[in-house]
Amino acid sequence: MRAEAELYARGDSPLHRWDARWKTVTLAVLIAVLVSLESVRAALAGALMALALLAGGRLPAGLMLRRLLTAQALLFPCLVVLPFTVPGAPLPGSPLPVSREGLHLALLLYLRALAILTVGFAMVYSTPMVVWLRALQNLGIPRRLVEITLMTYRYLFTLGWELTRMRWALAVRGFRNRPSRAAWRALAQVVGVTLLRSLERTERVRQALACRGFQGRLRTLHEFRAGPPDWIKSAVGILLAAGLWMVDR
Amino acid sequence: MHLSDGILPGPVLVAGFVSAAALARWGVAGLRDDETPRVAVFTGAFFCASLLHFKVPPTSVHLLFHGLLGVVLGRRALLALPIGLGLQATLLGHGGITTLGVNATMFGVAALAASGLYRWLGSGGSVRPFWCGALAAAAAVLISGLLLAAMLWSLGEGFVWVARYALLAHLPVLVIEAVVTGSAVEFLRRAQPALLPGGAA
Repeated sequence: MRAEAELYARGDSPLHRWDARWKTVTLAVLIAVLVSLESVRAALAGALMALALLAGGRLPAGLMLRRLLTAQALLFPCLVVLPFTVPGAPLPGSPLPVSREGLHLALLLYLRALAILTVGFAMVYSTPMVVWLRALQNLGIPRRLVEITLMTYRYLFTLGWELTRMRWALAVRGFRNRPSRAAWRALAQVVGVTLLRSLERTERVRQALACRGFQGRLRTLHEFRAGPPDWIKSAVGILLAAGLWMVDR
Repeated sequence: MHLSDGILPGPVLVAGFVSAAALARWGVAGLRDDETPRVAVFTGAFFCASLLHFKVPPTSVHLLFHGLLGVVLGRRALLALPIGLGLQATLLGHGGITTLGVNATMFGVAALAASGLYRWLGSGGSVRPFWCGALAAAAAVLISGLLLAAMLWSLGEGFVWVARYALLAHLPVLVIEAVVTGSAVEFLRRAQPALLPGGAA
């Protein structure tokens, strides 16, 4: 696991320069519209819009495609089954008992998921996590939740690295990941040790924070500043979302 | 297993966010400032543990560990779950952003049930730690699996098969999750009982 999103989030593009608060609200509105789309036509337009948005972030295309594919992996069984199980008029000229309604539904689900995921990636890969979480806090997400998330994010990579080292240690000692009780037990102990070390780490983190004058509130130096370019981008985004909604009716 | 984006209708998603927020509110109640790092580090640990692969021929599965999460964190699991799931959705693309509320509710209810069951089984002292953990984890997987299947079921006739498939796919996960959680609880009971409820003595 790498802080890959963070790597790209510090790039420079119109999408990156968009103020995080305005970007979050606009993209949230867009996603709310995308979720409710009922026609394939509108969903296709939404997916294209989302891909254009992602392209505006000048992010590496290969990486984004791979991410989109893995994110949709859970959806694929659904897409394969639905054309067969949804009742409706059979598709003329097809050797398989596929219904038109089922195909329509599968296509709609696919496009909707693609659009939502793409907008999500456009958000995540163009905003550093710290800035985004602060923006969410400004928008009304409780401070407590934001601070725990920030701290979790901070220690995620430390813990991930620790787990990687433990897997190396296992491999060196001849561990094979087989479907057996012994292998599961060994991995269970890895999980147990991770939790144990977390407990010890918690104590050290708490002490380190106390040494630096932590009183239950994390502070950042980031200041939000929004100007006309942000407002224009948001206005265009909201208008496009409204347009999608109209097309769908 | 998570629900991904694009399947559920808007009202269900909104209801998911509302219920997850209510659960998180209950989870945060009485949280002291110096408890924040503890919840954060454990959330990170569970996030990483869920990345481990377990071989089930012909594929491999990731475990959810929401049973163990419930056992170790208790009510605070309701805080850890939305955070962990949110990070998973944004960093890895597992689950979904729009389904975050629904998923957090589903796993949160399951984790609470696991926590309750673990305490109840452990209180008598007659059940071995392995079985306390294993049964708690099995209950958690079963509950979240049934909730997921029920939600898919409610979408209409075409989804009945999808719901059945989803429920069936939970069975191998249930077995492995039970064995692994049981072993982890057994290990923790020996190595650091303070991590488990009722084990500080």
